[in-house]
Amino acid sequence: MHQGETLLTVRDLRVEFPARGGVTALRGVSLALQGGRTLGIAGESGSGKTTAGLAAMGLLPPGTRVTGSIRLGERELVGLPEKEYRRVRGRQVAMIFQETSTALNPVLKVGDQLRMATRAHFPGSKDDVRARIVAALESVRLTDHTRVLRSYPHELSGGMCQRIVIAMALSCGSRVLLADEPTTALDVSVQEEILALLRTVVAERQLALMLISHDLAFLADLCDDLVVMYKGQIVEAGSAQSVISSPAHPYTRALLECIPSLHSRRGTLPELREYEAPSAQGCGYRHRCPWRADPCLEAPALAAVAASAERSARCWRSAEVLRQSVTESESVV
Amino acid sequence: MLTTIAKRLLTSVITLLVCSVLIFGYRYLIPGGPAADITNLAELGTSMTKAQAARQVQALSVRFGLKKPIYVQYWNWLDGVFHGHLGTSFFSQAPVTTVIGQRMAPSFELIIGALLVSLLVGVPLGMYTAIRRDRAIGRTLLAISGLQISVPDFWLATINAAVFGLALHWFPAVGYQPLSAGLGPNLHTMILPILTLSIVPTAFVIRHLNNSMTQVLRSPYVRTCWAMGLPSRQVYFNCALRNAVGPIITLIPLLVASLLGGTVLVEYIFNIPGLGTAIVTAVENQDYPMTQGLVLLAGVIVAVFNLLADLTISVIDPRVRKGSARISDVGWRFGARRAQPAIGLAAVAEVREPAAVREDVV
Repeated sequence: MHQGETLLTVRDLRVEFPARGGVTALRGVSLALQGGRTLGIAGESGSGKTTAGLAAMGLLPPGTRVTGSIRLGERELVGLPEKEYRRVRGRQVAMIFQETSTALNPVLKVGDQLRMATRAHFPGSKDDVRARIVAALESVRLTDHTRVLRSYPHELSGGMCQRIVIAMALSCGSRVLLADEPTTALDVSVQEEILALLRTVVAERQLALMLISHDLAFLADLCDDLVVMYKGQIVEAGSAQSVISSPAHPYTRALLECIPSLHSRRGTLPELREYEAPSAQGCGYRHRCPWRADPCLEAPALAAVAASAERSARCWRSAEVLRQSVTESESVV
Repeated sequence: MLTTIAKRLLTSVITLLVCSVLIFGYRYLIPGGPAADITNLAELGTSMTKAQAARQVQALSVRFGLKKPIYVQYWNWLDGVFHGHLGTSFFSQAPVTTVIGQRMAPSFELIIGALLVSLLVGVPLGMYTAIRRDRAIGRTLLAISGLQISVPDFWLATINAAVFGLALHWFPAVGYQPLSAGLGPNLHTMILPILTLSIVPTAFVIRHLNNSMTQVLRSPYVRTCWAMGLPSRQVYFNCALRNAVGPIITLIPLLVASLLGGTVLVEYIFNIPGLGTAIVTAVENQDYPMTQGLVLLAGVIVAVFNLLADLTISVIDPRVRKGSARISDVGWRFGARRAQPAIGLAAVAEVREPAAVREDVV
């Protein structure tokens, strides 16, 4: 498999919100985004997956304490002054969100919005800017440029709006794209289109895509690598294929059981009580974990899972969990 | 677009007709009548017997046309209005239109001046407080604007006249120089009244813009702007302001209505011969044609501003432009339309701000 260059590296990222009573959203997250590859981040609400994206964009609310390292090529983004960060956003890293039709300004023509964003990074002649925008629209398979550029967002469908936002990121020059639930607000059929589009754009332009979702099935479809987050920590990481087929962390197993299937009863994840400070000691998941045992009173580290060096999990019993998963998947076959 | 304007124009005309009925009808709320009033005045100077006085009341009532049925009176008046005749004053015998012509200039200057000041000061401050809403400076300015709204303008006018006029001698405490006397002398007399009058509207503009701008700044499309690396100046001015300014535009007719009321007091305290003072005299004297004419004028002014506001909004917001039905939605949303029929009365009753606005602020 072709290994693209590493575009964005996150190391031991910690995010705290002192204004919200010292809530810690991320507790030491490390990951890497590579050109031409898609990294999926899975986890329930409050697991810190969106915070990770916003942190990379430098868009966390003022007063947030961010430590650790986010490197974009040679450049350190943590602590970068807002003025310089402004030039990084859009130009090198862009983020798209769940909202589709409201993600574009309702009172401005699509063309004006694309032009405004593109000119912020490429202050060229009118024709140059237009050429960039048209190329970006081609990339997202919007071929009817003239009409699209002259439209207002409310005249376009949600799927088209999401394509335009992606095109905006491309025409600004971003090679790292962070997508936070980019298809949740769309019809199922349109979801498929956008997914297919993301897949081709990543391949064509050698983008590094970070796909954030709560939906493992959705991530399984598109991602090369997968990271599962729980309470601000990565609990399992590995290639998407292997994590999904044989999870090594009880939480990943629970998430997979939540995926509705035609043949078996769907499992339900125990309710998470409202924000509960992760206890200093012990595994954060142990209160909901069917595998809990004595060692769980001490926090496990993210460690390589026995089977392969490429996979890691934050669980004392990951080897047992993996074995169970493998047996189950074999018995199904 | 053309049908939109036509529809909207029709609404304005209907509103004004309803307004005219109210204006005409409300005189019956005031006890006594012009004939009796004039007679009473005359009685003071001369020795008139009761019988003579009664005869005079009769005679005057006939002359003023007050003996005819009310709908005939209304029709005659309305017919006159459509032909540009607002009648003649019962007292001075001067045509109402002439009096309006004489009194209009200072009042318009006050209203337009105060409106401009409130927009020029209120829009930047409203934006600023929204952008800095999480900082002490933003909250402080917003709190000050809250105090500003609650300042009673009769008090402020008196204090201003006393402090800047009588004590500091920066401006004349009372008096008026028309524009014909030159812009300098005119402004010298008008600055204090205009500033006094603009205090409350400025606070309204600040608070409304702060409100809408805060919402807009939290919206997904502004987040997209940030996520694409637009400079903050562009995010605020090119992207957010256009979305946030709608409520301010619908607020303007309401401000004009409340300023019309405000002129009554300010003109009185600073001794400016404008429409406000004319209206007070007319109401006191029960000078029907005069009152009706002046209040109708107030109604027309507000209706015109309302119309302009709606059309401006439809130019700014493409969603409104496309479906003409949506215009009224926006109007309702911002509470502009609701206040319109009452505005003629509101101007006289000196209601400082229509209820619709107050709800929004609280």
